Formats: sequence, structure tokens, C-alpha cells
Amino acid sequence: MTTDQPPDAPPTAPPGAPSAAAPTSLPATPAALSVHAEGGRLFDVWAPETSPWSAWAKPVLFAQLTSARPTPAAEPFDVAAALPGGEPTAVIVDLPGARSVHVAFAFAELRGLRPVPLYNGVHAHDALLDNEPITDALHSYHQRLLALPIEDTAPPVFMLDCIRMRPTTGPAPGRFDNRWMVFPQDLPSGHALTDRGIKRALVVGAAEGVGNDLAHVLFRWQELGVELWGVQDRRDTQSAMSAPAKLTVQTPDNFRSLLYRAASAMGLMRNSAGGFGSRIPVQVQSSGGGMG
Amino acid sequence: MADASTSPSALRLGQPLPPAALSTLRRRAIFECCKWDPQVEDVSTIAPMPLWLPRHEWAELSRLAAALHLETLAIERALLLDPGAAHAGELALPPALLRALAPASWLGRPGATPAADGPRVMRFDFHPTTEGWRVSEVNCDVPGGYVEASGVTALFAEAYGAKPTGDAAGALAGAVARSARASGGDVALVHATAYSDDRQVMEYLARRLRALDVVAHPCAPDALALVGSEAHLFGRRLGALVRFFPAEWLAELRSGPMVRALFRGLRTPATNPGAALLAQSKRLPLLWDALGVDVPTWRALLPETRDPRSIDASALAGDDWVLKPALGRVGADIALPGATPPKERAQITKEARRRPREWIAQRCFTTLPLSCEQGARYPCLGVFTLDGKAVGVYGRLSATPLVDHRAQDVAVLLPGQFQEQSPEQPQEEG
Repeated sequence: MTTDQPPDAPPTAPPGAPSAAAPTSLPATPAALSVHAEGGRLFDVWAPETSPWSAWAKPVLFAQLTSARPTPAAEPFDVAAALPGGEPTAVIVDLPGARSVHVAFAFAELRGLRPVPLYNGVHAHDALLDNEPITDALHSYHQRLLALPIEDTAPPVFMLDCIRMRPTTGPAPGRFDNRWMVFPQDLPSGHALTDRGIKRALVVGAAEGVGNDLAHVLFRWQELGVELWGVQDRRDTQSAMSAPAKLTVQTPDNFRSLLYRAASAMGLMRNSAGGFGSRIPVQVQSSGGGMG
Repeated sequence: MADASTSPSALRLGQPLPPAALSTLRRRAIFECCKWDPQVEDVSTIAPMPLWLPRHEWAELSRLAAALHLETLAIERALLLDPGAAHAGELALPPALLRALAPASWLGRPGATPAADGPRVMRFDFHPTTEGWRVSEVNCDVPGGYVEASGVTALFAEAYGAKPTGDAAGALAGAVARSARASGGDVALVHATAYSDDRQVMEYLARRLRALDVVAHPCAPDALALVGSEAHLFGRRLGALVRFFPAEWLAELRSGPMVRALFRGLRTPATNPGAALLAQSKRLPLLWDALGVDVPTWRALLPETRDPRSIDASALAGDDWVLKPALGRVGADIALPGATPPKERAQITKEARRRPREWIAQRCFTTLPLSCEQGARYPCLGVFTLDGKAVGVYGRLSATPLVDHRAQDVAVLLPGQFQEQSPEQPQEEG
């Protein structure tokens, strides 16, 4: 047990001796790690330190980024009518790939919300989920995002790829299975929202509805008094969304199951011909012995 | 003989980094060390200050952990040689795993050997208590914390001009590299790729291996193929594999000979082989006497452990016993008096009464808390051992005596000349 005296109070030390006080700065990033410079720079734009919501931004795609292709920005999305009026509202954009970036940026540009990327899948060659359109879109919008006067206290717009567990192409030999899920610990709790005056959340989803993994998050928020609303993205009309409607989330499968994380992974593995996150194995000729 | 009488009360928390410096460190942890999970729900996972561990305490922990490593391997060997796996049945291991380990199930070859050992790594969780150091458990199947124990701790060491206790990831990478070169092949880093927090560990180890000119491939278990008795990946023979995929999940996969080989018969060096889970069951102390293995360090450091059925209900509901699942991870489903909410504790107690063979009751100890600006914090020092030698510490700080997923990671550092002073000692002259 420590006493009240600060343990690192600098003693009388000879000149040049290392100080025991906490340092005020760190050495700069070594040059050898410049391969991560682009990803780091992009991450700083999408997760600025001035926003409290940046703590939840997922760095996975940024940490693996080595280059990005500029892509033309989409036509502006009209999200003005999507937010229910009045109170500060957190938004979750759960749409396919790059579209989630386009719509989230629209909320930032038109309604002053702070985008928070939550993409938690990895880049891989010949993967089931192609995350490059997402990183290309993140790159394409970053200059415009930097120029937006988003207030530090702005509510968040969380960004998810709704096809994270159901890619458009099925498993096939040689393809890398990089599906992923969202868990409650990936987002702030309902308390974290309500403590900051946010008592309402809007889900912008695709026609297929909310996945079970996101339902776990929403149900917990709902339990803590966050009012849920939803709008449906009308993909065939770039500029329109359905009018917002109140949502009630039913108890999701395996809610608060002690084995939810494990069960989730097992379910994903059993669903995949090649195992979650693997390359779908190509038939290998064994050398005999009955073990191949 | 183990000496558990040293006093860990000289541990202390350092001054926190200023916000700007902490922010820079956090960013470097993400991009240099693959710390991709710096936030878990509402908690920043990186504690803003280091934990100072006096050098003599680190020497003692190293000695104790090394002894525990050897005793744990002895227990594992005794279980593997156990005829008919009679004792293994008491450990609450999944039936599929017991089938994978039992000699009779191995394609009718009763003489098949356990999977080849690569470097063996374990992590022993030490707590500073009123009775000296105590150990709550060992993670000898897939111990975690490499990114934090090595990468993040190195950043804090740099910031404070201090030394870390070691470099667990670097030591592991070095040992696996030697193993792979001897076998002549690449390294597979086997993990559950659904989780980026597991993938980040594999990416970090891959970087450390690549720095040693060893090619490493993060992959899922069913990407591996068994050719003869050796593991292959992408049609090429592997030199070694590092498994970060829990053995009890592995046993449930419908993946045929390769997964079975990870338990028995694989010739490719594996860290750790599937049999490593045997010694991780918290019910193991119930078998020490029956196995006849000499475990003096375990007996000195682990609190009294009993089957829940041997304790009456009123005692179990009191303040002296903590209930734990036999194969729990990350502090999940633990009923600790004073820390677990009453409703949850009642639910766990009920479950333990219903299925006592899957639980243990352990005598409570009193962890010595450390003070910081945010209040009391309870430390847990996870000492990594590699082939019998202590190689680093994964530190955690919890706001309650129960160290679970809400605990923060803390860099454990060895103080230098001017950091080692305790408030009771006179200041050193210049």
C-alpha cells in the first residue's frame, strides 16, 4: 500500500540524472515505421483526439493500409429528414461497404455529426469481404472531413459494414474468409451516451434488417433507456431514405449468454466450408498413411 | 522449496503520463505494436501510468514462475501417461478434447505420441496479498498479453527511462524462429480470425518473426493440412506453428486429421500443443495427491482449492470462498465475495451447485491495492515463462479485486536509481 507521498517525487539528484517525474513528451515515431504513416495520418482525420467518440474508432483497416485508390465521391445523400427532430441523437450507419462511408459523411456534412469508423475486419488478398472500397472511400473523403467544422461535442455517427458476416460471394477454395462481427464492447455503453446527453439512437440500415450481433448492442442501449429509431436506406434512390420510425428490439439470441463470444465464433466456423478467416483449403494430395 | 514469504508491498504506481503524451503513446501502440483494441466499451485499456516492480521482487517472481513452469509440465506428463485418462475425467474438460487426447482414439494406434513440443510458453497470474505473493491461475494453453507485455511496455519504458522486466513476444519469436529454421519451413500463426483482438497478436508476432527473417502466416486452424505427420499450409510444409486458438474450441471443430494431430501425433513443433489445456483446468489441485507429482511451489502459492460439494452452503455464501469455472477465461463467471454483484453471485453459485464437477471453490486472499488519482487499483502480474524461464510480465489493474475484461493493461517496469526510493527510505545523495 502506498503512502500519501507521491511515489515519483523527484529527489535531490546530481545534474544530468534521469528525472523520476513523469515525462512530458515521447520520442518521435521511428522513421522505420513510415510504412504506417499513411494509415496513421488517415486515422488522425477519422478519429481526431478532440472528439470523445474517437476513443471507439477501430484502427484495424488503417493499421493495415499501405495505399489507397482515390474514388469519386458519391452524389450527396439527403439525410436531413432521417434524424428525428429535437434531441441529440447518436447514429449507427449499418450499410454495405463504401456506402456506409458515403452516408456517414453525409451526416457529418449536413448535420454536423462526428463519424466514427468501427470496421473491424482485416485486409487480405482474395478475401471474401473486399474492404478496399471502404478504405478507398475513407481516403477519398478525408480532406473534406478535415475541413468540416464539427464541434467537439457533436454526437457520433458509428460506421459499420452490414455485409460483415454475409459477403455477396460464398466461400470457395483458395479464398480468405475474413468475416467479422460487432460486439457490445465495440461501442459505448448506454450510460456513456446518456451521460453525454444523448438519449436517442438512430439506425440507418439496409432492407435486410439488423443483424443479431448489432441487436445485442441495441438491446443493451434500449435497456438503459436509449430510445431507438430506424430508417431504411433506399439503395436504388441515392438521395432518399425512409422516414424515421421508432424501433423496439426484441431479446436477441444468446443475449448475455456466458458463451456468446465463443458460440458466435463456433457458429461462424461451422457455416464456412473453410473455417473462419482461413483460406478455403484446396485439396491437398497426402503422401499416404491415411491421414490426408 | 518455494518461499512465498516475500513482501510485495513495495509495489507502487508511477505518475501518469500527461494527456498529450498518453495520446501519442496510444497512437504508437496502435501502429507500432498492433494494439488495435485500446478501448473496450467505456474503458481505455491502456493505464496512463506504469507499475514499478522492485528488482528484488522481480527476481523472486522469476524464480517462482520458473519453478511453477517445471511443476506444470510434470503434471501434464503425468496426466498424459494416465492409463485410461481416469483422472483427466475429473478436470471438466470437453469430451471431444478427452477423445482427441486419449491414445485409443488415435486411429487405432495406441502408441502414438503427443504432438511435438515447440517452445512451451505459459503465464502465471500473481497477486500481491496480505500473505505475500499468491497465484490465482496458470494460462498454459494460449496465454495472452504479448502486445501489452512487450510492445506497449517498451513504449512506457522508453517514456520513463526505465527497463521492462523482459520481452515475452521477442523471446517467443526467437524460440519459434530457431525451431522453424531447424525444421526448415515457414511459421503458421493459428487463431480465431473472427476477432481482431486475436488477430492483432498474430500480426505483432508475425512482425517480430519477420524481423528475424522468418516468414509467418496468420491463419485459421482449418487452413492447415496434414501430410504424413506434418502440418502444411498453402501446399508448403511448415517449420513450426504457434497456436492462439483455445484447445477446447479446437476440439469442437469438424476438421479431421489435422486438428486431431494438434493433440496427438503432429511432428511439426507446436507452441503450445493441444495437450497443454490439461494443466489449465482449475480442478487440477484436486488431483495433485492422486497423480503423485511433487508440486511444492504450487502448494505454497495457490490458495486452498476444493470441490464445491465439499463446502456447505452457508460457507459457500460467505466471505471465504470464491467460485470459479474449471476452464474460465479473462475472469469470466467468477463469484468473488465483495466484488461480484449479489444477483450474479447467486446465479453462479446456483450453477456451481447444479454442476459441481465443472467448478471449483478457492479460498479467498486479500489483494494489496495500489493508490492512484482514480482511487484504489488491484494489480495482477501475469508472468510469462518460456521453456522454464521468466521472460516478461503482462500487468493488469482492476478497480475491484476481481480482474476481468474491464481491467486496464499496465506496463510493469523495473525502477532505476531515482525511481526505486520508497517513501520510507532516505533520499540518495547526489
